[in-house]
Amino acid sequence: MRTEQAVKRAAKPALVRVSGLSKQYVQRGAFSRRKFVIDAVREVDLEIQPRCLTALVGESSSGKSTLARCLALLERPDKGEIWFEGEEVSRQRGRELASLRPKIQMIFQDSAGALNPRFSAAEIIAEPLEIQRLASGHQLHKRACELMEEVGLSPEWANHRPLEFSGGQRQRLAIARAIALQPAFLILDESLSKLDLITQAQILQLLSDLQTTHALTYLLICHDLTLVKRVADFVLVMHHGKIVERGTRQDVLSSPQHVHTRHLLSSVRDLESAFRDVQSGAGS
Amino acid sequence: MLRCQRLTVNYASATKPALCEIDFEMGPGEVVGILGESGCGKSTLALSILGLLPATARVEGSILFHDQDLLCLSESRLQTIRGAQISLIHQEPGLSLSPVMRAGEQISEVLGAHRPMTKPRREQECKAMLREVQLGDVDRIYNAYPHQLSGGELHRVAIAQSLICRPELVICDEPTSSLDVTIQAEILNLLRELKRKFGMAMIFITHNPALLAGFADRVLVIYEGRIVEEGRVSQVFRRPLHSYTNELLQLVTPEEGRVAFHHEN
Repeated sequence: MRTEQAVKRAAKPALVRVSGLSKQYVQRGAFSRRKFVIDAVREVDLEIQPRCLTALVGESSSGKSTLARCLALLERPDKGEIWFEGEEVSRQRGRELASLRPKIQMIFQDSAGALNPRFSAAEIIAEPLEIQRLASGHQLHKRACELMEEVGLSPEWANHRPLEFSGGQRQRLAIARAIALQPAFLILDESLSKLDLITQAQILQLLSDLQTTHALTYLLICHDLTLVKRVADFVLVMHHGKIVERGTRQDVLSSPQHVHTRHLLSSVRDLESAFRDVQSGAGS
Repeated sequence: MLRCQRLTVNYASATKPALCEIDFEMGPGEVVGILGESGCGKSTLALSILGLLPATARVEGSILFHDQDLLCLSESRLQTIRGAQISLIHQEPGLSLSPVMRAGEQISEVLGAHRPMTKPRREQECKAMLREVQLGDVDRIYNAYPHQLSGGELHRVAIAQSLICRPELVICDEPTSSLDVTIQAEILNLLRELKRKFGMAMIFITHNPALLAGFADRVLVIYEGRIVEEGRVSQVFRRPLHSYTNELLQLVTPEEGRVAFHHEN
């Protein structure tokens, strides 16, 4: 039923629309003049529905992260257009771009590497507010503490540094920093991949709660199809820089069309069925 | 073969013990899965068996390997065991392999440390091992530096390195968690295959119960440094006794769309 709802909502205008997006990287060998061109993203068209969770799946080096970085406006595409809330944004610069940044936020895979180890938790959350001049002085600290509470961290930890937190808590901290600016679109680049199953489930619940309060749209990049099955409304499958399959979760996971999707699914199914066999006693 | 008795590990910086009175034993050729969330002490257990804990850690109890206590052995005695009789497959081979040595040399180095052999003979052995871990282009991989290899290839090199001396016990510390699903499945199948062929005992540390199904004989569930549940995999998976195990098992085969992301505002 949930998928039906999602389909119905698809009639609404998309929050993000991408057409013909391409990105190349040119590398040069250490001591040679030979150039290697890597087509990371090739002619990608996609739409992301508002207030849904769209999952982007694919193997490592399929171009998922490059696409995400383009959507987060951290990387300028070579070709193509990115429409956000009905506006073409891929060519924007300077002040226009700066005013757009709060609306699109990204959470990275390695929370230990993404958060400044010399900042305290409160400073990490307050920094974007300070940059965007949304709060100052005493207000800043107060707002940071509120945000910590919102993501389930005790404000007593406001003066601790990120490396004193556990992996799951650090990911919460990264989420607090991202939602500080009240974004509309949140990109999670493998943010849940390094967490153990129970922590992962807790963070998912938090993301789901935040969606209710903040009307967020998520793009979840991951390679774990078990996770996708649990949370996604829409699924995009990426392979060698192209989107090879797209649709609602039910369509893609229950009747995959592309060979690559089937390949991805079969490796997960093998694991799951082995587990079920043991549980039901067939495997012993 | 291996028996842990009342193993307790305290880190100097922590208030609680990382491991508390761990008791377990395993026989030759047995595969034991260790299940637990991050920070529960799984990796500490692996490191204490290999005598690789930092000097600041306080260890009590005993770890008997063929009736000698690994915790009382001198460093030089431990070195003859480490890599030859007990070896470790790390979570991230990209970090555990040296970036300035060729892959082949790193495997050959382990062999050189434990078996007196001429260099060409070592090279021959290493290449045979690389073939065992189902690597195709053996000559290229033998001469490649780690950064020239893909994630899956690195994993296979790390596995080859840990098996080159045919150890009796291999400890796999989250061997597949940094890989994507398709390669993860390949590496798991490879480990199963190698286990069948060489018959070594294995300790398989993971947070995902699904990886143990059809592979491990027994499972220990560790929660906050203590063993909270222990038994045959089929028995624990079918009828978990501890609430933590139960919660973990339910996350393996999730219902579709269990966490709602579809709020109409």
